[in-house]
Amino acid sequence: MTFVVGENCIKCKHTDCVEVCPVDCFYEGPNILVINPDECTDCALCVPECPVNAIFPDNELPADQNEFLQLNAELAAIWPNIKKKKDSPADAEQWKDVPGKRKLLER
Amino acid sequence: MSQPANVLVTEIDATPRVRDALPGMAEHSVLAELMDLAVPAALKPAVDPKAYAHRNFRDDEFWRQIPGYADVDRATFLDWKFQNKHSVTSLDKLAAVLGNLVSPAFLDDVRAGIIRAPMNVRISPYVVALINWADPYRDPLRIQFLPVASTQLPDHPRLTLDSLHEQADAPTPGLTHRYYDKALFLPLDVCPVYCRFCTRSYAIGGDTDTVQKASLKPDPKRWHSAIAYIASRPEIEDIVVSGGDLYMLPAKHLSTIGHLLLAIPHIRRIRIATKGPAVSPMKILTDEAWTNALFEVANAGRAMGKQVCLHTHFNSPAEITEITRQAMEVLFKGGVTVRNQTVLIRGVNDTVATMTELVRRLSYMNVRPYYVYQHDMVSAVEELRTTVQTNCTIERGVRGSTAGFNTPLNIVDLPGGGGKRDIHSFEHYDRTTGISVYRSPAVHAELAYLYFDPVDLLPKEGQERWARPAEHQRMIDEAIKAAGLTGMPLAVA
Repeated sequence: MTFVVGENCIKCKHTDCVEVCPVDCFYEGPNILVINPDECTDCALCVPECPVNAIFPDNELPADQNEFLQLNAELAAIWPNIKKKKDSPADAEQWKDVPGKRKLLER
Repeated sequence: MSQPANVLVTEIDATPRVRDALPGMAEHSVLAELMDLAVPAALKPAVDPKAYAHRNFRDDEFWRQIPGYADVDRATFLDWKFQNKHSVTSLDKLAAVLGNLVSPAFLDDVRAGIIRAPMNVRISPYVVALINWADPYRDPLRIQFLPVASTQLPDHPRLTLDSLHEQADAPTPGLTHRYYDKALFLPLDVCPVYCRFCTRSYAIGGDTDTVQKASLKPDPKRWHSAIAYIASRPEIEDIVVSGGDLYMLPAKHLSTIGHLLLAIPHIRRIRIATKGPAVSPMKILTDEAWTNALFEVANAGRAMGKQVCLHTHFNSPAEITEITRQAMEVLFKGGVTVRNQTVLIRGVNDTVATMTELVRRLSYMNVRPYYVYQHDMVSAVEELRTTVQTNCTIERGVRGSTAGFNTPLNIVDLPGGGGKRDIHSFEHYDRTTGISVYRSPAVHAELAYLYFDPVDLLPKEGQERWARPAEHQRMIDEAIKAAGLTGMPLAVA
């Protein structure tokens, strides 16, 4: 099992989650974070931290976000590790819950 | 003048002085004036220094003998996040870290062992590095954390998964209220390592091939529900916060939960339960935010006249190093009382000599040996359990070896929710069938409780009777009758 960062993180990227992760398993892309499934301990501490409810256990990932399971694993392997919270993007609030953000994911 | 001087030296040697007993302390600010004092003649023979070898804490870079950690320097190894992040969670990771230290046959044995286990594997680098991989089958740390198929035994016929009935006594998820004035609060369900013999394998550590678990995820809403229940029960004075393991909880949550509990007027005592010091003692030294949160909650409690203690879980003297000693010293100097709860495990600590050494090492670090538990009736770890008789023998052998306040209580946590009872307090114990009968008048006066020794350690006659299912109820009836409790309902284990 692992936890997975889903679509709603895109362009919001508040990074509150990285502060509570006991194993520093978040990795940072241009406009989304991902979780390394091989390092995640399934502790769930990050879930209530996310202001936009973007993190799910793999078995509760919404069906239309299934590809994020693979995306997290793939991108965690190439993106840099993030251990400290950063300021949210200036326009994070206006991107919250905006549908169809998947196509905006930058690599 | 040389001759008289020699005579003088001989005379001083003949009468032992304080300076001989305390070499190098002649200038000590307090003791200097006593240095010439003669030592009273001893009534006991001198003690072999081996007798206090429990004071020797290994301080070598022991992890460097593990191929995967050979290049890890001390500062990195002592970093608590390194320990968390590099914990071994799969056979592949174990094989990668150990390299050629173990044989392919051993790894195959582990692979087969993991399939049947009710707990996932999670072992900190600290523990991996302390295991003697030249003889892993007999190593007390390997036995606790890494299953192998070849030593496994069938479960006892009377065994269930939540043998302590914690879920049955839970008014809200993760809050067990069994004893009159005490409640058990489980804020999360992950730990820094997973013990094979976990009594909460019904919930802790994620689903495995054999067990689908209850979920106790860290969730402030669930925590608030537990706090609400505690607030509504004025008889509760004592809270054990366990898990899972508070070691995995970030400092801010430790602080929040601690202050919420302290604020409830009838709460007088909080015990924070963590396996952490035994498996990752460096966290106390390097996770300053967490250690400071613990001190801050403990100090706030003290200012309110309330007790905040740490309860930990050392099982073997081999888990204790100089890193541990330093960590325990930080807690002691910070004013946090630490008590230890050991589980009696076959091959780990089931001799008087090992248990005595453990008790002495803990006492030396100001960790109070509190309990020695009879191993709970947990699935798929039958080879780790031992008999009630072994526990009784250890109690008799350890008691008297050190001060009473540092002598543990040897107990059995009764299957079926009877709580913890003195191991010697059985109403009846049949050493042939391995059935012991207990009562727990302050918890459920109307019930009788049974504990079952592992079948493979019974005399031949007992083993043969357990091999015949038709005999099972008859053996139980015999034990109840011999206890003088015929007709008393049994707690369902």
